[in-house]
Amino acid sequence: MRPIRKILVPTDFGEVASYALDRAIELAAKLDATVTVVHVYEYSLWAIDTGRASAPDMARRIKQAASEALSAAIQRRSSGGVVVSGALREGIAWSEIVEEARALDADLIVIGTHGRRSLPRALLGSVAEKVVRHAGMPVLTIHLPSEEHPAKVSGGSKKRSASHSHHEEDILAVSGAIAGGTTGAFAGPPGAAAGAVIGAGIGMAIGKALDDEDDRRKQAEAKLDREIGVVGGNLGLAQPRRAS
Amino acid sequence: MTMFKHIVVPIDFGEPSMGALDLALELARKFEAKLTLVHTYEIPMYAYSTSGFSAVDLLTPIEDAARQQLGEAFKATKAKWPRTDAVLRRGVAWQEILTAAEEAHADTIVMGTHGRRGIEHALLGSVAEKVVRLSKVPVLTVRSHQGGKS
Repeated sequence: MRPIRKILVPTDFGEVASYALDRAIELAAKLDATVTVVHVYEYSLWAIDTGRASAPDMARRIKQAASEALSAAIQRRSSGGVVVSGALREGIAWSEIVEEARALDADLIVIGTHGRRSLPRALLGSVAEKVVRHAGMPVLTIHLPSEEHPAKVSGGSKKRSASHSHHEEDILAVSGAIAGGTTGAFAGPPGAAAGAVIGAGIGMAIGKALDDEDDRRKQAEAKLDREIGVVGGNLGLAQPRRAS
Repeated sequence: MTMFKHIVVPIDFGEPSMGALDLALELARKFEAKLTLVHTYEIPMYAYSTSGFSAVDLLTPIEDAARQQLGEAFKATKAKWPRTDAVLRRGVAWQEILTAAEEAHADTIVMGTHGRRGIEHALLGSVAEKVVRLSKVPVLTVRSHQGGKS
């Protein structure tokens, strides 16, 4: 069994991914391994001419926002002595993650997953499950500490917001996924397609309960919100998670 | 955060689970973790049909065989890492694995998956997939063949 030297951690900047990344860095410290954070964004579906912004312009802005959010996520964790680097990819999340792991020759993938939060999600399978199925190297799947495991929750106040945002994320992701079918080839109307993209990719940060612990992240996410908010508005997409 | 303080490794004595055991052993040493081997067995469905066997007839030999195999794996593993124990459970594999992890207060499950493709893979990986989906603690899946060869 080869030793674990390179750990790949996919992130959508959501709470679960963030939690998984922190755990991965703890492991890396112990194993003397390096961590690469990969974010996959998808802009093909956003490349719809809405009249207000051209497709290339929108693509550029999405990439820019993704890049900044990734930098912020890495920056925030660069003080602990573990080498953390980033990788940005465009495409279908699970397949890009597997591809990146292969390219990196990673020894381990650590990935956050929502698990059994809703039936439709359970039926469709998650990005994490596809990664488990397709990656050649060991994959560590991590859930957020749940209500059933109060002892493992680090901060009492975070617990409530965690489960809350999960719930909302599920609703959004599932509605998008149903509109798009099970294959990830989204064929719904523009609004539904946009929902699917939000559920699946870059827009996970929309309306996310902002974490007070880090201003940089806050700013990056707010920017992401703004970027996507413009597009979403143009497509007639309400922002359900922001409303709460 | 505690991770790799107590690792549960489900084993069915097939190659994937033994590969997982190797990795679990390595991690257990590194993190000075407790290691619990879990083997589950089921009384096959045909025991309930008109095969002439009854479930009770089969129960003892199957349980004996399971106990013996687990005992051997346990001894071999304990020789490499003293903080090892073993649990034998009868029932549906994924359920028993989750229950065993919970009862052991394990913080991680390390388990093998078959590196197969297509329908065969989809079926054979179902125990691991259920565990991944339903486990409250992190699950480390280990492919039997690196690179996805079957």
